Amino acid sequence: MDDVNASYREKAVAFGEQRSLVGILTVPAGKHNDRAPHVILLNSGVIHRVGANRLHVRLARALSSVGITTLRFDLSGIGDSERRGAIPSLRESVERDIADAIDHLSTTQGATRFVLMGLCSGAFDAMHAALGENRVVGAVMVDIPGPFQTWRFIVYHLGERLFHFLSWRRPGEKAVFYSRAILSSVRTQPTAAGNGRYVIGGRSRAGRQRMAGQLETLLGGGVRLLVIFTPGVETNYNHRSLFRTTFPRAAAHPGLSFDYFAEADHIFSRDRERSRLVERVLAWMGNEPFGVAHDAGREAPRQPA
Amino acid sequence: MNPFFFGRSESHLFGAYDSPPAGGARGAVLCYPFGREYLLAHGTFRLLARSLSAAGYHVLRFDYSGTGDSAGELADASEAQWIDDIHAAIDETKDLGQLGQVALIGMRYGGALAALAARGRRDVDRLVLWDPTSDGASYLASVGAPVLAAGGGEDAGCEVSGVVLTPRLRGDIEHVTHATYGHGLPRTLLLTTGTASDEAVPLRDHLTAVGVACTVKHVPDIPAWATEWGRAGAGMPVVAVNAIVGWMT
Repeated sequence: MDDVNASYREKAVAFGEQRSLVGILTVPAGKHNDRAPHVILLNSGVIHRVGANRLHVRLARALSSVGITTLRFDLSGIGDSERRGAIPSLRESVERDIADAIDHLSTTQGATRFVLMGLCSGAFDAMHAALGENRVVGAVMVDIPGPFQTWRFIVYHLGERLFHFLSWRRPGEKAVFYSRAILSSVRTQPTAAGNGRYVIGGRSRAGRQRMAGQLETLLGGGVRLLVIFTPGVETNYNHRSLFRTTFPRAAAHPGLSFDYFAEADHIFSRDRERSRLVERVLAWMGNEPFGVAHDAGREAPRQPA
Repeated sequence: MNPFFFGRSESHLFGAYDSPPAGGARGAVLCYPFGREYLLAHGTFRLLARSLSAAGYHVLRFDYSGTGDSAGELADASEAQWIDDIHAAIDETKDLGQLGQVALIGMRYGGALAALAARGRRDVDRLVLWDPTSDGASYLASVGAPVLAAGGGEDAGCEVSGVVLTPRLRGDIEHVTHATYGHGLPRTLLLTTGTASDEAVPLRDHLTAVGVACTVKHVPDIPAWATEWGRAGAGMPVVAVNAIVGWMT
């Protein structure tokens, strides 16, 4: 049975190999806006498909009000989805899951273009899936883990505390703390070209040059990107300007939109910030000229099973 | 597992139904805890559902109105609405399994809701209270709700760990006491997993005093509602789940 509401219809679906992936399809009460891509919402860490503080539910229902169909689903081994069998890596499992979700929307809804959206590990998964799937024409990436621990990162970290009176109450302890912070920042600096040693939810964090190349590949292929950060994960991102200074070419590209939610935490705990995020995504979806993505530099699309 | 929506057309509820692989004539409805505890306990409830279905139960876990994938907003939710939701879930489970009776299993505030729903229903034959909330004020404090001045006032609503706690819902939760677990309850398992082995004693004494047949089990285990899991069920409270399945079978 479907959930029927004035502005949307929701249907619980099981799809993929052996129907092991579970999701909720939210369809506008009217017709899907043919000019808009379909949206797929990806898990944030191990939070199941409803999203952090039900963010995905709110997003899906808001998008339906402007004629956009969404699928929020659980990756294998998360929420209600079964774990896959013999899969060599987490990354391959995630890529197959997302490809299955795209195939499901293609088959059941006639969808041809897709926007992937995720927070934290979901943002990471959105970017990597977009690199391997030329039916993806857009991605919304919130608090994507990245190589932002540059010298500016250290300066911002220290600068914020330098003049704070309480920071100087125990100078000995502070000296130890800052020494460790600097050493830690140096150590967590991923290598320039390859994967860093640090991981997020089992996903290797890319180095600066590599991630720059990935972003530019997507933008060069016509993929529209909305990149949003919060100050919620201080060890990942601690100043509005870090994305622009870390990835200047991508940040200057007309296909990339950027926003910084200075008042939000990582999981958008405050209702007002969730509403702001939903409004930002709706505005972006409404304004972007999503076209047919080019596949320059991207892998060939996976054929539906 | 079969995911589906059920209930009234204007306010459908999301349900996840596990049928017993080898068939069975018993049913169970699982009642989630509230707020952030719901998110954290989701994996444990999935494990419990699968374990019970393997033991021959038709199992339905579902999201209350305004939570999870169900219709509505939390701002419109109330204890009365959620008790109605449990009634709908009981009826749905009986339909799905062609059953005459079902068990209710509730964790934390879900335990209080399950007890309120079970009162006077002859088709609820067992009740499991998993670390139930029996002092609403302490519970609210434990999840970080700010302490209010006497009387509360119009502004008693707040946001707690990403959850909008309306004055109505806050009041509902605040009023949970031992008396919430009153007369007319079926055979009950009171399961505690904390470090103190005697934490269930006051509620057990109350249940016994009001004539409820009550079994107490203390099985120190991971607090399912307060622990973030790794992928694929790492670190689940298996001992507690097995204790429930053991008592149910």
